Amino acid sequence: MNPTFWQRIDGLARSACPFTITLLLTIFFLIPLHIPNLSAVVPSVLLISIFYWTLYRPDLMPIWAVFGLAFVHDLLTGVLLGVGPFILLLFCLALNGQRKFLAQTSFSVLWASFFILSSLAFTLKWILIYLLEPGIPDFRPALFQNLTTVAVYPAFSWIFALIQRSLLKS
Amino acid sequence: MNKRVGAISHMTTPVQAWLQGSAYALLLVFAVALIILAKTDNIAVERVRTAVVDSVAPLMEVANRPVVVISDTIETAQNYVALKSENEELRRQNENLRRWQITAAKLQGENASLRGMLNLSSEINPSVTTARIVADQGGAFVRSVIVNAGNLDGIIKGQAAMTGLGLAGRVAEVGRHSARVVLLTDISSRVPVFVGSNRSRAIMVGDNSPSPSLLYLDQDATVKLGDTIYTSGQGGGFAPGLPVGIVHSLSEASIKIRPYADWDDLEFLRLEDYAVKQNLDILYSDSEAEGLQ
Repeated sequence: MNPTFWQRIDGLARSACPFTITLLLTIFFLIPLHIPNLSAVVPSVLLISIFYWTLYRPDLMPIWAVFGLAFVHDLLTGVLLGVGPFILLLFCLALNGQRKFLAQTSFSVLWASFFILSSLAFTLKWILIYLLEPGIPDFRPALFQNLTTVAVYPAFSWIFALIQRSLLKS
Repeated sequence: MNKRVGAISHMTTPVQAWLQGSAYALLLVFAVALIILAKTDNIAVERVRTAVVDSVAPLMEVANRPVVVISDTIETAQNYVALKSENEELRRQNENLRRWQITAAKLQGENASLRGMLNLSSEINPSVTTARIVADQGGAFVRSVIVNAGNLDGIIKGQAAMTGLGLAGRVAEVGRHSARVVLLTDISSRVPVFVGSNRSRAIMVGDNSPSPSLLYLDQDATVKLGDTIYTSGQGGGFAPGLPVGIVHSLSEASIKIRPYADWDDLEFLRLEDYAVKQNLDILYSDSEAEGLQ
């Protein structure tokens, strides 16, 4: 039996779920929360989301979607345009290289792997900003943002797993 | 030569994997092209940026409302708790400020008569727009905020963004309903300033930390802890005399400034237009800043 129009729409909406959720989270995480010192070290939910979906549903988080999300993030945050997509493309390249190993490993090893990849991404981004902008950027915000991102990884990973189980059964 | 080997080996892998590899290469090249375009201040980059920020700003504003309600409620509760002690503190401050008010009034009169004698042009009264910050959590690599006022509200590029306490940044990009303000602490921020009462010239440079530093200081300058910093207006970036901050640490390597603006409590910015017409971009490249030495 052919799927009806509404079934197709439903299917499309579900497939667009990882992209849409990542985009909305990226936007909402820019909103001022009036918590002292948070703005510099707010967790990079974009990095967590792309890690999760690239690992578990690469079909729903293709590489152009990663590029698009990082592009929008750069535009909204005011970072030098192109730096975010460049870093995230390399991040996904490294992640895809380890896919076989990561797909079968335990959660704690996965978390440690995320820590390593995220640290590499933050370090590379700091180097790029240092090379492209005048002056030496303070390294402490990058260090702490990396740590907060790694710290909230399990919570977001749990939420994404919930979404995956309930909305993306197929 | 290595590339050729890679290309041949790809032929043995499935077409999909090859396509994926080319997509990565293409997008990486595209990302590098974007960096070059952004770095050369291409006007198209600015247009795309303002268009995207403009389209997302209303969503941010709506999402911001519950946060404002919650933070206002918490603040009100905190105020009630601290009411008594704060009242006493304010009384003491008020007495102190009254004494300053008398001194200021006296100096203002004296200043006006001296200006009259020297035939100096009167100071410009800025046109002021107050805007709410709708996005500020840019992460570790940038210090800028988005405000909910744009060129329809009379905002133009280069205006000074002030808090109640002092200068916070300058308007860098303007959309129809939104604008981006680059803060003093951003790595790209360069502000020509005067230091202390002897008005030594310097450039205040941000590095993404909460405390910008002073560079290119006059050679004969003497800087003390607690010296006040205010804009010099040189190069035409800002109107002269806007309060910026105080010197809060001195070392061989650097002089750090604590801006008056409270970065933890930024909710509104006052965008002031002093009709400064000169090209601002001159201030935002190191080579030009050296020229100002």
